[in-house]
Amino acid sequence: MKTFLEDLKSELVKMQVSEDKIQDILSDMEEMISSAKEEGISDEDLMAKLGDPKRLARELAEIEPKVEKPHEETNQDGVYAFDPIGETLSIRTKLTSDDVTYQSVDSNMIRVIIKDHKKDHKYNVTYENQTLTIDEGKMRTFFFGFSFGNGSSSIIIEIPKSITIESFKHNIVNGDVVIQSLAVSSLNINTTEGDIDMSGLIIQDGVIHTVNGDVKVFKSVAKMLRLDSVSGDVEIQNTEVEHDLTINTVSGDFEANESSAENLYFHTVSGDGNGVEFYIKRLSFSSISGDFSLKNTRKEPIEILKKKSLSGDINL
Amino acid sequence: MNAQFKKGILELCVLSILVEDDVYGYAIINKLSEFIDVSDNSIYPILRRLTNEHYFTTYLVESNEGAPRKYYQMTEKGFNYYLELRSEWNAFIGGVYQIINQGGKKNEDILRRFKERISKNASK
Repeated sequence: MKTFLEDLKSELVKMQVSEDKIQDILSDMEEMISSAKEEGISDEDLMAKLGDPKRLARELAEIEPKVEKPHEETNQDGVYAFDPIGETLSIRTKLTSDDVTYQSVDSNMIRVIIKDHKKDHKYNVTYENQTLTIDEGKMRTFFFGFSFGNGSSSIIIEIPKSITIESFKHNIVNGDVVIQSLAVSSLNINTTEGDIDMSGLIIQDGVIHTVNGDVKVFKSVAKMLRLDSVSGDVEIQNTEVEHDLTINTVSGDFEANESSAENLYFHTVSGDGNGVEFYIKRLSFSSISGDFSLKNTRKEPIEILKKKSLSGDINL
Repeated sequence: MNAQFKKGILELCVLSILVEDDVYGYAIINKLSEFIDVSDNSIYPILRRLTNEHYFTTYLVESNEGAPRKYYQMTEKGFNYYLELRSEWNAFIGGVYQIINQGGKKNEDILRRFKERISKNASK
């Protein structure tokens, strides 16, 4: 063990690590060696644990000379306001772990409010060509060159009532998203872990994709709506879909209350579907082991377009 | 495995241990060794670097036998960094999960389709 420490020391000296750092490193190493010995580790295992002193010295030398850089100062209040041009708006959001709320307001300004705004976080908020864009400016590259966001904030986006959103794209890794009382022509939400909560929306064409976040749609109207989830649950309440409602899940459950759709396409591996006062005209259902059941007071005929299930049941 | 990639993962593992409790160096290595192979002193440089970055502070505690032990304690800055790494990791794994499950979750289904394809190719 002596040789290990001596080798490490001479390597660190070679690499011009300062005297006090070397002392610090050696005393840490001695502590680890003594802890290991207390546990009765064999010399052989210990040597394996300590590894090559040259390599360790090289790695440590890389770490030491770093000087702390001062933090960038950014916008402290985190409020951005824009005077809307025209009656339509496109929204593009690409974030990592921020919770975002979109809501309609009586005022006639588009506002983006970033709460818990930390000074080393930086967001790009722009409004150009009737498009509101929000993303994270400074990204660090980490594993294999994919990038890291800047931690998380909660962001509120206020949109004047008079404005129709032409195209809405929200990409987020694990922040939640809440959307309230907006009219959207084309809605597209992509999340990995965050939950999605939508209420009072008027949607022409909506596509929502999540890996394991839950999706809730309340009191909304849509022409076409598609909800894809791997393991998150999907819930629909007081919602009317004029044409196709498509639900794809792997293990997530689907629940619909007091809602309606012309055509329901429900595909699942092991998730169950449950409808109460859920009126559909046509149904296409496929599952491996998931069930689908409907409990309605008004008995109206449902045309079955397709029914394919390995071990799941349909109960109407 | 790519060294940079492994380093990033080990860093997240170290942070995950210290988010729960203050732990001394050798015990961190031991806790990690329960699950993964860390037999090449890859952990100490991580501890040192993250301490230099002010993600951890340290304090010494006398031990009954042998040298006093340096305990590592996570700072708020360290905690925020941990959350970032964790969410990025989850996003990555989420993507990987989607890719590997594109053909379904069940091995037998994937195997069946693979066999069908092989036999189709063989009959050509």
